[in-house]
Amino acid sequence: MDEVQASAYLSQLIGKNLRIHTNDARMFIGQLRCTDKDRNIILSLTHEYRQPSEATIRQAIVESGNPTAQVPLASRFVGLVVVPGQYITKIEYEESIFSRDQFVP
Amino acid sequence: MDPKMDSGFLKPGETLDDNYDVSRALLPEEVVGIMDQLLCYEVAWHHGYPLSQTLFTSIYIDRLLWPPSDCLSDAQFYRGIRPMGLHPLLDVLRSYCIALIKCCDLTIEKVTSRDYYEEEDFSTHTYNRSLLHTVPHDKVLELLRSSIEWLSNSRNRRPSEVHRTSRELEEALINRLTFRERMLLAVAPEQEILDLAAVWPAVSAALPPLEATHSLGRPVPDSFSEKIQRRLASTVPPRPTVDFTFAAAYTKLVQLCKDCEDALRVLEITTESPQEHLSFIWMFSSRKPAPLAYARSCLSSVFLARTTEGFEQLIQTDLSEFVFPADPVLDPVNFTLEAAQSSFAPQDKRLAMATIINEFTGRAAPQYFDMWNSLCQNRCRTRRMICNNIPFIDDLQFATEQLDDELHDLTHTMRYPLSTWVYHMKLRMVEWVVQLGFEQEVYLPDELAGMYWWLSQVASLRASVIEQVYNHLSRRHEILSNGGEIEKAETIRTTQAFVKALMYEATGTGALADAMYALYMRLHYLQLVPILSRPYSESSLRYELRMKPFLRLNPPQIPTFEAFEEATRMPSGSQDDVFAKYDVEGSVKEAKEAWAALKRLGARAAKSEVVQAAWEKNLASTIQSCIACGIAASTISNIPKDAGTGRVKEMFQVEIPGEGKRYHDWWVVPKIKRN
Repeated sequence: MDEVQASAYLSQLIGKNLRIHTNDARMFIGQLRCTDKDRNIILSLTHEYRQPSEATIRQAIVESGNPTAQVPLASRFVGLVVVPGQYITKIEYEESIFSRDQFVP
Repeated sequence: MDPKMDSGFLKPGETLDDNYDVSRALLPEEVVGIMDQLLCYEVAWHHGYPLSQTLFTSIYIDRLLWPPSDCLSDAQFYRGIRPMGLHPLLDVLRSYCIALIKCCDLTIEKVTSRDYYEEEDFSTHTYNRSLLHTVPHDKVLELLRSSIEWLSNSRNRRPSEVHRTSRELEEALINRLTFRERMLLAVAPEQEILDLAAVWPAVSAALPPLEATHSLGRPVPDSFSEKIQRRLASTVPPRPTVDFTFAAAYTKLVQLCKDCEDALRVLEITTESPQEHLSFIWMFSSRKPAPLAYARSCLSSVFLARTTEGFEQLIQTDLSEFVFPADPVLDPVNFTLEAAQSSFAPQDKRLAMATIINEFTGRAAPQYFDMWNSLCQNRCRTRRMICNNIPFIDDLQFATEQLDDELHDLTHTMRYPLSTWVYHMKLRMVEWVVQLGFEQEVYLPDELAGMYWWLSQVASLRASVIEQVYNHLSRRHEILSNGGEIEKAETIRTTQAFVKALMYEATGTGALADAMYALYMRLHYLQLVPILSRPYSESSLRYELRMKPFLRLNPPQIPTFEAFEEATRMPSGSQDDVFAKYDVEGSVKEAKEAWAALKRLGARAAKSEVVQAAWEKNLASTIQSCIACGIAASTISNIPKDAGTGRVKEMFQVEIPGEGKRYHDWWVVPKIKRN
């Protein structure tokens, strides 16, 4: 991709919902505002999600008696955030605005 | 990742979960301990700390609020099915917590209903958690009452059933629930309260038992966690919890209840007199310690909650208390007349007068509201907002002069009555700005002389304006009493007394300011006032800065920089000449006379009856300032002629007292000690 193509590609993502995974097993879902050459990313209207801790999962299994019990992701609203590029492990783009709903507990 | 920048950052091995089990059985002393800790956090929140560092650190409160629940029955320490064998005391704690949350919700509602400054006065941020906003407060009251009832009934049961709860502890729990019930009743929206004046005394009465039984409680520090902040909707990393000791929180709570109670004493002012309200609000906002945002909003939500028409009416009353007592201009009949259908019919003079007054009140209402609103803010904001309002009042005065001319053609009242009223209000505001500047230590020690000089000019100007009004009233009183209109003459006499009180206040302020100016000039001559070296600043620019709020005004036009420089330049010449020129003693005598005369007139004449005690105290400390000023002058009066500057500096110690160390915050009388 040359520079023109690359910036066109990135520009079309502005304002779109992205899912950004970080290396501490957190995920941020928010609208892309801007980015730079170091892959630092600014998201707005962001929610932070994290895996439930082992203790919580174990407790849910004990309580329900079902080894495949579902435990929701722990989430909270954080608003406007910068995610430093060096910690990002994966970036996903949400195709549909409706797909977002299933992540919100 | 940077823990300082990232509120969700966890150290290796750290988890978000707390190991505290909220469904564990609690001892009654532990419940008391938790309730008292929550109370401390609530007080800290009232003092402006955010919920995240106070109440939201409680795991019990967190469980009630998150995940969010729509109805009261869902707000439990558990989610889903009620666990077996849940300890009944947990229900008591739940009632208390829910009522506490509802209190916070209603508090936020009240504070945000009027002007306030986020984080400066109060922190209303709830971090995306709804504080049971949709739950009606009477449902919460029911819950509290059922818990109180359960506790009272369990007293009569056999000991095994009450879980060995001693009678004392039961009482302590009931006391806390009762306090919470009354608090909830007090913070309820005004329209739902039958007797506003009675609610806060009831809360205050419920406080002493809390203090008496506090020692019975046992704190449960594990049930509070700073970690919860990581789960709130905030990008700020966890900050330390704000810990008030119970004793400190209790004193502050007592003060808060007292302030709220006194704020609602505004309802005792039965007359619609703006001057009564003015002195009430000034006395209230000058209280030490300064009333908290909630107490101030209690006052403003009663007083400021009127329509524009309400304020227009208030202006009319204000006019009738100053320039138009028993005057045909404000006759209520005037405002009931309708314009004649035919344009040939002669116009009714009364209707024309009413039109002019309506136009004036309509124009003045926004500025008038702003003045009241600024007085209901915190002290520093009051000064800043008045500074901002003064130019608008100036414009208003200019626009009013034309209305005055039209009015003069219709009636033989005084010249320029409406603009005189505006002018008087403006001069008063200028005085307030300067005096609040002294109170808030805006001016440096070597600037005090100049500012008192300016204050004395403004106050004398105001005194001369009031004198004109007084003379006008005297003339009308004479005409009316000669004409046998006793009732109207009597109304004018009351107004005269009030105008006289205003005059004494203005002359007293002017004379004392003059005395302070002279005293500081003598100290400058003796080189006893510390002067900062200002290598990069120019005195003309500093003068412009200090006078900034008044630069545009006309009248009163600020003195030119040359005149100011002339007045505040370090005096030269022989000591006798200088001391004779700056006559402290004469001005102090004049000031004392004026303030004493005001005291003789009394609070009733000065329209401060409801706050009589505070008014008298205020007056007494002003008179004390006069005396202190005289003493300071006499301390430095007998200096041997041959003493050089160096020796004089050795002979005396001059201290400029800070805020709170003065007799009166508005009068910075230096403390001079002879070594």
